[in-house]
Amino acid sequence: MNNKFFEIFNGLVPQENMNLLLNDFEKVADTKIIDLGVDSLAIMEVVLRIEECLDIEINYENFKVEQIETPRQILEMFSTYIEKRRN
Amino acid sequence: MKNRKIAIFSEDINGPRIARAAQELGITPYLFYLTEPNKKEICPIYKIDANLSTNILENEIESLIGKPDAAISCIEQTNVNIARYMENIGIGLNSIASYEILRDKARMKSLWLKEGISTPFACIARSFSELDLSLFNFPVIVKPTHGAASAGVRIIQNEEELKKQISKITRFNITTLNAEKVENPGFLIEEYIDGEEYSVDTVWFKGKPILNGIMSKGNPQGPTFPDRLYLTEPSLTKEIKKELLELSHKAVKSAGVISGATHTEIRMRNNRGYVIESALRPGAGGCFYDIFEKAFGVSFYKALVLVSLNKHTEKDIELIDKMNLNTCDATSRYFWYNMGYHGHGVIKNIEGQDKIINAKFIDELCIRKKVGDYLPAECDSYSYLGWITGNFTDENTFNNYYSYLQVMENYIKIIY
Repeated sequence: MNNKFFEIFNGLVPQENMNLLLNDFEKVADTKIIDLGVDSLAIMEVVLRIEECLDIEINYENFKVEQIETPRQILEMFSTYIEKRRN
Repeated sequence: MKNRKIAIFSEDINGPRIARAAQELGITPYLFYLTEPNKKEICPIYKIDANLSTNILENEIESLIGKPDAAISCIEQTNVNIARYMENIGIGLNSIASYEILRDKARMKSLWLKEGISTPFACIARSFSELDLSLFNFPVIVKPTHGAASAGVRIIQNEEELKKQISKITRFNITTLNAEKVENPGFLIEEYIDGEEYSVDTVWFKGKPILNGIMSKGNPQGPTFPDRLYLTEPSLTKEIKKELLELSHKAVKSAGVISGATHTEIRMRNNRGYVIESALRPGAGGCFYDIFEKAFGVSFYKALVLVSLNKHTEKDIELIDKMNLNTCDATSRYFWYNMGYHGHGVIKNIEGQDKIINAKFIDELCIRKKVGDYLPAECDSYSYLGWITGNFTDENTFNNYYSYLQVMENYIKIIY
């Protein structure tokens, strides 16, 4: 999952926050990604990168940006999709 | 009148220009940017979240500068919120409804269709399933209800393309628009008008147009319609100018605008104008005012500062009346060209600027992004890479200025 976080947030957050995401996740798990440094214009980039990482196309009619507000929510989204694929 | 203060919500190119105009009028400016300022200017600059709730915004600004006598917002995405702040502190000149209407393409379209103001036919929806495609023949234009800088606008040839673009617009609506807290954003499907496009920038004072700057945009064919070339056109006929001014003024007045800056886009077909959209802010955040000053010899920046005050001295009125006499007729082709780019991501390097800076006809190159900044895919969002301004003084370039500017544009390479 560390690789995935790196792919999603690379260049979009300052290095110190990237280090926390990769090495001390619980410290920032519930921090809003905007507060971690993601520009409001880059939220769309985060969504695009999540799609690439999961190899999916998000149905935007049923999607709310609040579903990816924090790193923990993104992690849960990954877990849900991976579980769906297994089943 | 006591020393007057003006709060200017802008970015770092036009904000200082407006500030300078204010100072020259004896008014003290304060700049408010959405991002951290990276250089000193002629007046204090503050970073602010202009999407804060009205009371918090009021307290924050009060703690920094006290209560201003006027405020100007050049940023489309924060216009409505700044308008609420202005009303809260008693310096609002237009109703909140005017700002809301001219921020929402659905509302302005509905208003114009209802009032019989010439505009392309359109339907508004929030999902593909809401659409009645029998109302349209392809090609059509699809666009978000709350875009800016033509984000999300595309010409569509068939149903498959339409579904794809609606998905992109929905993605834009739920991500990029989220900070603005827009309720129920959607999209428009609009009749495509194939014809020359123009923009009309007007400075209004108590319901009257004081200054009008018309620019030609050519006839962009798509598939996307990023803001590209705007130029003052000496060959503009009296008839076209009359049509453009009458239509833009009608469209803006119908939204209840009283004082401030508006920017309206119109397409012509068979000598008839169709208003595409209008905004209650200067065009390109105020960039065009620099062009107009060079082309017409009158300061739109000063005009905007003056009309934004909630009280006026005799001297202010005298200046406004004098400006009103300028007919703003172009005698040369001054241009503003927004440079296109490919790709998206975090910028690693920007190359090629030196080739443009000293090129013929170019006065200024402005790159808005720097290494480390995120650049969204062009046309998916509203973020300019940068622009060039200049003057085509050589008549021989009349037919090939687009080609010339595209050569300039191709010099710039973004490394992600």
